[in-house]
Amino acid sequence: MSDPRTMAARDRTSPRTDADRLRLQRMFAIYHATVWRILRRRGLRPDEAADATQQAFLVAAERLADIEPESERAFLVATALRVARGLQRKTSRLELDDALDQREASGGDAHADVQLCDLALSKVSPELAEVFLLYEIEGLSSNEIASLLEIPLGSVASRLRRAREQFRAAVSRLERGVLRGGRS
Amino acid sequence: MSGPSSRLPERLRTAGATELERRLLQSAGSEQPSRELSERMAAGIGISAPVLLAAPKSGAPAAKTGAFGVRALLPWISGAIVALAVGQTAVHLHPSANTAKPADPAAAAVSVQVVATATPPPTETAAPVAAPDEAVPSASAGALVHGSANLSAADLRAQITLIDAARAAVAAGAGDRALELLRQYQSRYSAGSFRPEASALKIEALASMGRSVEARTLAERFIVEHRGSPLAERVARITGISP
Repeated sequence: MSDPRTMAARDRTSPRTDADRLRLQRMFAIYHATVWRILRRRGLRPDEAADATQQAFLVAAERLADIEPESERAFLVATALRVARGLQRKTSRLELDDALDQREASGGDAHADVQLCDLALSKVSPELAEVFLLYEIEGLSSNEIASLLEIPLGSVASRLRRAREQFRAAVSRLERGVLRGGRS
Repeated sequence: MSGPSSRLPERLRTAGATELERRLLQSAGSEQPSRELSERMAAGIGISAPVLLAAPKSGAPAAKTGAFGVRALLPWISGAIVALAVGQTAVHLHPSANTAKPADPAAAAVSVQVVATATPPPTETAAPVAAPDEAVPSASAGALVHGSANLSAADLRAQITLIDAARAAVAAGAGDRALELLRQYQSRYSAGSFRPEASALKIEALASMGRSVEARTLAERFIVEHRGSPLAERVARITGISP
């Protein structure tokens, strides 16, 4: 937030009118958690995802006049994915041992499940993982996914099919590790 | 363009997933940013943060609340947030409030709530902000706290436990047990965070027990009070009432 570049961007993109501000506020209230979650599933830590979410909304603020009301979510998600792709994460992904340790320590709570899900997702090819998370986790429709990823519907279906195979194989490997109490 | 080969299968969470897969997907889909992060993001964008975003500090997942999940209420809650935050002015100022036909349920719910500001919102949405609690692993943005800003983690857990138990009882066909659990919930938490869920489960339990007149009577009221919410849609579907 205190990053000078972000502050400058904010100043440049601050909504010009009350109507714009209200619209942006409404978009934020509805979609910021979705955008943040998608960025988390793309491997960003909570604070990194927050920064990237902020970037996505700043882009939206800049282009508010171009965004159709019915395309707000698609615009934000597409922007967030572009931001995520551009970040080229330097930090290491969660490793299996960490995930299993945390899961065991917590008694298998939802937070540990999220980490296991992310670990499984990290084993899925990036372009397939995007389709998987948008469809299976965020519940977007095939048309929305095709539109925001700018790929044909048939590609959405084929990517989803392959993503499922990879995700399920990863979960299966995780499950065997968990059930053994060992480290696969 | 969309031939049979491009038609997507049913989502894993609803068909074909193993228990672990379903749990992982559900947890991942329920994760919420913490209130601190939400406020930080909003400040960075130059807007004020939504007032009811009472997620846990660590960005933990929301409650595992299944079909009646808190998350399912988020669009409705968000709409209420906006409605409360901007009041009737929004109807006049927001360019889409009167004209837009949002493509997704979340946006639709907001429009409903914004337009509905002329009438009092459901009592659940008029509640004060939920107090964040680091120890609370759930509830997140949907944790509407009624009348208390000091809700403890233990309270929330206890509420969720009761609601989950009632839901499980309904799913198992144990309507009597479900009603007893829901009676306990409503007795202990008259201003509880999950009153709408409890009411909806009660209606579902009654319907499953063949007590359709009672179910329908409660459902009619519920649908009026929660019009536009996913829960109201579900209750309408269960009782055969047009929403």
